[in-house]
Amino acid sequence: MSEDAAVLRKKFSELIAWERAKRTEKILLEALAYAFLAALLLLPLRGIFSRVNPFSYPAAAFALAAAVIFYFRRWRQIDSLKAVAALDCALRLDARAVTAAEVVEKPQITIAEHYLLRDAAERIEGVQVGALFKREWSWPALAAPGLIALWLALLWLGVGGASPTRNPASPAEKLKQFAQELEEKSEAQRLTESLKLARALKALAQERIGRKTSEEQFAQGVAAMEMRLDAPAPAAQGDFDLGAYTREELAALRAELDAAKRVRAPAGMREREFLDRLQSLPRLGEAMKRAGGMTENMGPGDVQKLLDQLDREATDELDQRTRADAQQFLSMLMPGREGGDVPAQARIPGRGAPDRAEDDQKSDGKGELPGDQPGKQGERGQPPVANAGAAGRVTGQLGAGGSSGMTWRSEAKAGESKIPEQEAPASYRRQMEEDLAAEKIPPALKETVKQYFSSLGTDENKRR
Amino acid sequence: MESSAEVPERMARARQSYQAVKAELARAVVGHDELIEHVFIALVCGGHCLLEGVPGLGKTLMVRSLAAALNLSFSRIQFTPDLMPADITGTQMLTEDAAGRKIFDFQRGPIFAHIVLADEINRATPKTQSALLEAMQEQSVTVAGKGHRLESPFMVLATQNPIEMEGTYPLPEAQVDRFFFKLLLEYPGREELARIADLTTSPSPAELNRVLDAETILKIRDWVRQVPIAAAVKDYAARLILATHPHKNGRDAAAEKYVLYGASPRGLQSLVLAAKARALLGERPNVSFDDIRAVAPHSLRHRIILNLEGDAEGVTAEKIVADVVAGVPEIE
Repeated sequence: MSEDAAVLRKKFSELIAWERAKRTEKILLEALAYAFLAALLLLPLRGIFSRVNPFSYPAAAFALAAAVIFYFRRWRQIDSLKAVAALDCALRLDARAVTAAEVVEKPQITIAEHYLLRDAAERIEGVQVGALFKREWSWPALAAPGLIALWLALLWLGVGGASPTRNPASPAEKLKQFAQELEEKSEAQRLTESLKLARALKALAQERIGRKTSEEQFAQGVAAMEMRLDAPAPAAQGDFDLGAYTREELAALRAELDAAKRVRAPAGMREREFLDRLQSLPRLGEAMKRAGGMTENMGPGDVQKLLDQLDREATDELDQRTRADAQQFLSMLMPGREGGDVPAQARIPGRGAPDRAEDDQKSDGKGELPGDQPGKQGERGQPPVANAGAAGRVTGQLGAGGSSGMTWRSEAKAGESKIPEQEAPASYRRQMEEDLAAEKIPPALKETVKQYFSSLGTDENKRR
Repeated sequence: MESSAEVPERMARARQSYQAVKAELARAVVGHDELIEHVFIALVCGGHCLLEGVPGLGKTLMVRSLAAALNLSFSRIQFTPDLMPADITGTQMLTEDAAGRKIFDFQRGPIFAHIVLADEINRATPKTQSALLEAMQEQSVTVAGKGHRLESPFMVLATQNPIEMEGTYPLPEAQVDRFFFKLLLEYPGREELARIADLTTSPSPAELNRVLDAETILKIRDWVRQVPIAAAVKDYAARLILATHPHKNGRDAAAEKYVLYGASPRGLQSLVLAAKARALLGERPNVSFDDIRAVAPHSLRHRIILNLEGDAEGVTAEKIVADVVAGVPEIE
């Protein structure tokens, strides 16, 4: 091989290697741009594939696009020829490079070809292919950084679904979380029935998470559990009508009962005196007051029985509420079922800020004020539609005859309250006074309404 | 022993020869620079030319002047309807030898010359026209069963008039295909007409010098064939030829619509050889894509046969070639 041929071979190899590298870069950048373009287009569907890591979309699209583009634009023999022809065009060599590239491969060359090699080598030897054929950025390559930035921004903003950290868990995981919280709470409050229920729910969830049961079996298990909970519970009505108590009040009552049981009656103290001392405790005193004549004429040992009965009723009431909570949770657990899905921020009542009986709100109903039209026979008032969340209780009006009440659960609104707690009762009272002045309230109910709103906030203050 | 250092000398000598002929012709012929270049290319390629132009453009003058500038024999045949093949090739004459015996002696016709001007070739009958076929292709003639070799270099320069078609016999395709180039004479411009007037009305027309001999022409012919051509360039020429054919690749819409038959393989030979000659005369060591494009109209225009639709719509072969050249990529 002549010196000219060696020079030309080296230059042609350098040129082809450079062009191949450029093409590879270009393909990768184009694939990147197409991948993020596809990821952007798929972003709205992220909610459907919530379990898939969002970073896997562009990664998969990139792999696919790169494979397809590399296949269809793979380097061929003609591409080498085109690269050499481009050198001809750039240097105005009149096809000297193309001809020389062919001649250098020949074992025997004529003197005309030899002269051609020398002529071409002189013209090509000093060429810097990198400088002559600079990178050209196609629009996908130019758009790639922008598309990546846009995709990341939209992902960060949570477009198309929750962010990865807020990704909703599966029903089984939600149930497990619910059951764990319920278990902890039941253990802390020594609620035997609730603890059993929590463990049963946890086992159900654990089986699904461990893939021991199918989704269908899990759904069936949830439905069976829900039906079990839906069965009428044994009547919890006792002597102490604890239905009006909030969870916190019940918990406080049980704490006072525990303390009373521990203290017992000091030696030398009469039953009556001990009973009076117990009645001085806020929750216990209130409960005993409701019990009325039960505390009168108590003999030795009667106080202890009374405390045991009160403790049992309080426990039953808490168990009953836990059962209702669990039933409510299960009814909303499975997607596609009536009642909708469980919000990601659903919590066990009694834990966390949203769980306040005072926060209950009517989300739907016939109206907030007494009607001004006579009702029709057979027409019954419907309770507000229950959504989700903590149990609340509204008692009926106390007075002559029997009293009735209805219980519903409503969803605590997400987010922080914008009105300070101290201001809310005052606001309600102002509204009440305006309504009373405007005669929107029937005269017979005015006093009751006034008392109710006046009492708002005072219990809270007392508790504190 | 030859070395690569001779190659630039060859190229320079070929170019100088061309420049010398061109300069000498310029003393007698006004304009027609491109025509002269292509006639010279055909000469050094061993091809024949068909010159077409309206009367009075100097076709005959150009050929006569070329023959005068070359140190070659020249003969002119005026084609007429009553011209016979023997009038071209020659005939056996009954003569007496030195001993007084009657013998047939072959009397050479005007075809036996280096440069033959076949003036108004389309006025002779096809039978007579075909007398040129063997001469043009094989560079020999056969009379009475005996072959006679023509001199080398041998070149036929035929002229024909595109108008006054009455009483003419269009050349058969087989014969047209044997012409290396078909060259069209353009009407001269204002300045050229003034120069023609000066040149032809002066008292003593210039005598042309003989600047090129047969030996040099044959050497240049040999050099032309040694010019390297890349496979990619040959492939480009082949694709141009195919693109003139309908139903071959469907690339050129005009060819598909208006062409009955496209260029023959002789067209490819003409393209490549003429491109080589052009590269040599341009002192370039190899054939370029531009060389192919430059000679394509002259090599292909007479090899494309238009269909009835093309004739009816006034489409020309030049347009087809131009479309094909514009549409075919260099590398594919």
